[in-house]
Amino acid sequence: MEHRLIFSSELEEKLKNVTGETKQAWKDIGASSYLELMECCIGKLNDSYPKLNIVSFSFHEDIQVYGQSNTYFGLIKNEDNVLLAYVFVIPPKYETRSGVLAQQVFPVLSGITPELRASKDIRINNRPIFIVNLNEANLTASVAVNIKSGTVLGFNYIDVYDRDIEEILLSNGINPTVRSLKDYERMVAKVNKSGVNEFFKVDALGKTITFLTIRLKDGIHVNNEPYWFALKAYAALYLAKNEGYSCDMNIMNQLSRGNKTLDAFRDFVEKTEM
Amino acid sequence: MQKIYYGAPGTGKSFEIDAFLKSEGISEKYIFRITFHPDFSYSDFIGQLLPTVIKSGPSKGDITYDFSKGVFTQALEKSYEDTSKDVYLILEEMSRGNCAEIFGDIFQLLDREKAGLNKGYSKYFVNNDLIAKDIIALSDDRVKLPPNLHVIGTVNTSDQNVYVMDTAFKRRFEWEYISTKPVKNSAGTEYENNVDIVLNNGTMDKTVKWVDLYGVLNVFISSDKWLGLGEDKQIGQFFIEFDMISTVAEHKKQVKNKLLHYLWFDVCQSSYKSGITLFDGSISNFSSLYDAFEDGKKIFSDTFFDCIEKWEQNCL
Repeated sequence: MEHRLIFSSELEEKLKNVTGETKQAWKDIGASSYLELMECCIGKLNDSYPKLNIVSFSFHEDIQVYGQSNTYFGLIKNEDNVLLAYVFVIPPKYETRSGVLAQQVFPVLSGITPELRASKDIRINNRPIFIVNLNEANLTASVAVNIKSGTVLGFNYIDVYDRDIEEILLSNGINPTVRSLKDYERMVAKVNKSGVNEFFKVDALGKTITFLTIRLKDGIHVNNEPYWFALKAYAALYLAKNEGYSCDMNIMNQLSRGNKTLDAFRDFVEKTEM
Repeated sequence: MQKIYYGAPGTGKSFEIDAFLKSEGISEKYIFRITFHPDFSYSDFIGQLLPTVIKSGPSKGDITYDFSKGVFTQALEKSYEDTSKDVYLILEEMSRGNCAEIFGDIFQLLDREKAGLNKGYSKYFVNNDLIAKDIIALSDDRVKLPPNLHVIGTVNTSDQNVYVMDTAFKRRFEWEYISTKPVKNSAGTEYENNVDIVLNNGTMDKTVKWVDLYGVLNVFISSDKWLGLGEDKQIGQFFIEFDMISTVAEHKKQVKNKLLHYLWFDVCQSSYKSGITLFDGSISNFSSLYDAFEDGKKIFSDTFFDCIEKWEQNCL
């Protein structure tokens, strides 16, 4: 079956205005314009996930799911205009700093997940998610852990520059294998400057995971910490639930409600405990 | 949900499923319904490769083989479009088909995870590239059922010429018995589908309500005191679906063509009880039964009429 990829007009505007080093990086992969870059993306998506069989792409003014939209959010639809998958783009270097993946995905997903409260499927997404990394900057260990966290959540990932996440982790002395919550805990702690996991604490004997608020604050967040927290916390939660852990939310519940991303996480944990 | 409703014919198993779907507000586009029968096969259920003539392009006129999706594959695709939406695969009359053959390898998918983030997904996958080929959510050819795909079936307990379901298949479903007990309308004031039936008892015409008639028949059929055929041959309230605004003559015609046929061929011919008969001694074959009822003559035995009397006095 043939599919088409739809992105927001805002993304088109941003890609049109790309200059300098980023544009040079595109040339290195054979794309001299943003349209050729999109062709390259589609080629890589189709190579990695042949079932996608994307035959065209377009940019549209208003693409929304459950009222959620974002510059970096795209959709995959079939010939009958049925929505089948979500796509998130990690933008070129000048657009982002350290929040790679979390900052593009969670502004939208934190609006979708609460809509799935009654769903029998206990996942944060109701359709498959594809992540397309257009960011040409050298991937740091921290970014690689973010991407690894996405794969723990079942996100499908492609890098237009063909960089190998596992190699990046290994070259930074991090074991890329995540078979358990303890593996993931070690990985997250390793990329933190202090060597401490600031997102969650694992009690393997008591089979309890405690979510921490060290990097969060009560009230309005002016930064993107909730998105960074959400990525690590959801990934840890997925692993914890599959290993039969229960969740300790006492610390998190001391925060007042009002942040879309954190509220969605708290409600999702409640759903998994039912 | 993986559930089979079972019971005597006409007890309202399909009605129960419909009522449930309506109460849940499930749109028809999320319901896939199929009726099993002896010729229904794996290819009908899952899909099959069928030849197609290419209509345009350089290969115009050539033959290609396309996978024509069966109802199972269509339901699976629908459920993976959005896993937050419940999709129902309704399998009517399951015992009339060979379930082991129809389900084939898919049988393995009926085991679902009971805990964890994968709760409700199949515990084990089966490799089937044809089923998986158009489902983006399945990254390769490994097929699993998602938690929002519900499989609901119906099974008649009294069917003849049916296939036996093996225990391994049966244990993968919850079973809910739909009894022969009559149901009332939504206000709880009157029985549903309850028309007057006129029977001649040898001396006069006697009007019996359908709910009473089938109730007495079930006792007569199942009890060791009379035909002793157990529960399997009983009938339900909707064994005949009467048109409530039709005439008594129309109702009589329905009784003649549906009920009498069943009672003669499926009930009486299965009973080995000597000395106890449902029908009057003057009835020697189906033709005489059919004609006698048509002519308003006595068709049931005195023993059966005694049972009707006792039923009406609440002492059967």
